[in-house]
Amino acid sequence: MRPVLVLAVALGLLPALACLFAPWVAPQDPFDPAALSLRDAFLPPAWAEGGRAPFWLGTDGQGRDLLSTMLYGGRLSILVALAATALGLGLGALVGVVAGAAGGWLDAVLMRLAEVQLTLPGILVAILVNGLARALLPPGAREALAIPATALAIGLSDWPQFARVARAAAAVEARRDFVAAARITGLPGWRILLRHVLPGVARPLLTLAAVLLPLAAIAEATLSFLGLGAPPSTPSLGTLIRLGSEQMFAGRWWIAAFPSALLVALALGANAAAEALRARADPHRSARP
Amino acid sequence: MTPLLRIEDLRVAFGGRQAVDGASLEIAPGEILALAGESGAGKSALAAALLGLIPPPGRVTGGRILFAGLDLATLPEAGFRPLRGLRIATVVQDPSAALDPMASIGAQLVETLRLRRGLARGPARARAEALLAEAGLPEPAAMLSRPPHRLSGGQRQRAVIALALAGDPELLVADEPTASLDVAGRAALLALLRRLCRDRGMAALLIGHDLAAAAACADRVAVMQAGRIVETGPPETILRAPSHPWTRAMAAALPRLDAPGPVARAPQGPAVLALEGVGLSYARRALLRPAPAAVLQDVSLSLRAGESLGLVGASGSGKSSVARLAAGLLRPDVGRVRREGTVQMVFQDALGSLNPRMTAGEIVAEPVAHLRLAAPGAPTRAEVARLLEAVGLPPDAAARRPLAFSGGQRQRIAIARALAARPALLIADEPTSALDVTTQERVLALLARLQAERGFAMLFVTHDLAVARAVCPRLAVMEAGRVVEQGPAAAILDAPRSAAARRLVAAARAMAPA
Repeated sequence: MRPVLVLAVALGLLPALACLFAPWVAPQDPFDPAALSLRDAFLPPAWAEGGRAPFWLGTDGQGRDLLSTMLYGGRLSILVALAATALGLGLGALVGVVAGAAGGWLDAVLMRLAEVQLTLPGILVAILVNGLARALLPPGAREALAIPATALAIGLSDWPQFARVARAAAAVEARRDFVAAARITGLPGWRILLRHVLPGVARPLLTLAAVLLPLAAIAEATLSFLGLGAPPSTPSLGTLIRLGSEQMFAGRWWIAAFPSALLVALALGANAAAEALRARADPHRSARP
Repeated sequence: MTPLLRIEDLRVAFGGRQAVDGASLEIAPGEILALAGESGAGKSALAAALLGLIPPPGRVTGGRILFAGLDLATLPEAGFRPLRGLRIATVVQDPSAALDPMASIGAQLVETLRLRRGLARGPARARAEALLAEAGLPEPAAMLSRPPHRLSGGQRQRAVIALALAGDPELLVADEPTASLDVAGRAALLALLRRLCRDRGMAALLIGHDLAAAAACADRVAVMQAGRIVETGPPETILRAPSHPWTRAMAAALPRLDAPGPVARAPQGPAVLALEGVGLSYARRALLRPAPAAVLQDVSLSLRAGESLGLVGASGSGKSSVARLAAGLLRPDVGRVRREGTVQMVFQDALGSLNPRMTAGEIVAEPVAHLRLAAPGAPTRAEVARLLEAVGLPPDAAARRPLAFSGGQRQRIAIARALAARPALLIADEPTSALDVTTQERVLALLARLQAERGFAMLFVTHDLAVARAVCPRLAVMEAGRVVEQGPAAAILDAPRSAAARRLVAAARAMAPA
């Protein structure tokens, strides 16, 4: 692996691990009102004038330690991105494999559907689904289900890309002679799909998932930034950046700057990991003996 | 005469494996030397060394390759640039891989001529047309504007040859140039290569696993085995009086047109397969699309229990479509296909017919488990072991995946999977055409033994008349989607009635060991 890739993976992997284990590594629990004090509000980073330990990266308007809040927020962003990508992958794989293996009118209908959705920007679809989901939820559950609704919205905006890759790979696999042999023997269709077609589709799909994962994290941050994703009480990276941007002109740059930097690091790291995966999956990578 | 190329004690190693292990040979100017040997003998590694194109981690570990006063074994990459494509040209096995799918044949030739020969656009175009004509392509002017996918397989290989000729090479290295062609195409291409060498005084190193083809067009044959040249001589000597035991085995393994074929058993029992007036066309008729081209027209065939029928014809004649219809993979547009009992199929590309992610044991177990064919009380595993043993695979084969086997062993796994379903009819679609002759002979013998033991009927599809003759007492000849002749194999070989059968017999005789 190239050194620049190693660097980028490390840049993204360390913060990602810190985020995932936030409850154990964060200096402060930002959800514990007893630990917060308004006297600590808007403290700059510890090295700047007026800053002090243990608030190394400063605090926000409620006196929450910014580092801790970021780690918890990053954790939420990563979990939403993982859930959304898993949903998009599952749905896309199902639609794509059925379309690719079946062919004919079913293939045409499913793929035109995917293409129609692809003509709309993904974030627009996510906003639409998100709004629809919230409108349909009972008012009491809106707050509680806001985060799953965000994941659902991003997942539903992702599936056409997975479906197209799955369809192309499945169409190739379904024409292989070992699939013909299984059909001649009379194996049931679901078994042929599961055993003989799906494994050949898995690798390109996982590679695509690695590419789309950071985009899902950015989509989550965008939705939250617009006030459509995570509620302000459970900060994600997007909410933090939104709240911080309101303080930018008051000179309190750190509240938006550090979460933005974390988001960039996570996205870069995931992209580098995806690139490394893609290179490994490339059959032309190594010369044959 | 001083040789054009002289290889002395060449050694090429890939990691710890010695692919070429002390090979020596010479080629005189204008001479065609055929390098024959089984797959894995080191032929391609030798050719790659000659072109300075050994893929890593392979490298030349010893010996000399003398060409035009240079030692190619130690020549740095930059030294090859004035040689490759100019003084030494190459024709590869798969013409589709050698041509740019997005550019017309003319554009590729003109680009080569301008870059390598420094011609201006106009003269380059005229020269390109002349080269296509020299390579035996019809309507060379029209060919210039065509992309590769609009050419047939044989035409594509001719375009690759035209590209190779663009540098006016002194030596042409052709690695299995006919592998992608059918028997008539092979004979024509080898005749072309021979003519080109004569007319241009060009030498050629012709690499192939087909000893008969090598003998048919070379001045001398060198036989390679396990990285060494074990025997060199004129073709007649190599075929008629081979001195090395391995060459003797290979010459003996060649299927012969004049061999006594299997005796036809009196047809008995019910028909296991009957095609009645079958027609098939690909691509459905649609608005703004021309009427679909017919792939098969009015095909009628029948096979009784235990009988073998050889289905022969040039590529594109519809043989494989008949096989797929018989297997139930395609449905006829008109006519009827009737089957009695289980059908199984063995494919040309053994590796492609085996799921690479499953072990041999899992592959063979699948039909056993699905059709619940294991003996009562006996586990599937025991049945799988019996089947693997029946096709001559070692007991530890069950745990390994297809990539870990040789070509012949892969086809044995495919045969074991087919037997697992206890078929009444086995369809074999060119099962041995990707194998070298000795492996082919063993696989054909295996099929014959299994058929005698188990009594299944066999529809054997092949382009190779000599192979069909060795397996089937009865033949059906196809051309352009129709069955044009049917009858006892001996009768068709001795006195073909249809033009298609006459062409096949003539091509087979041209390629056969005389």
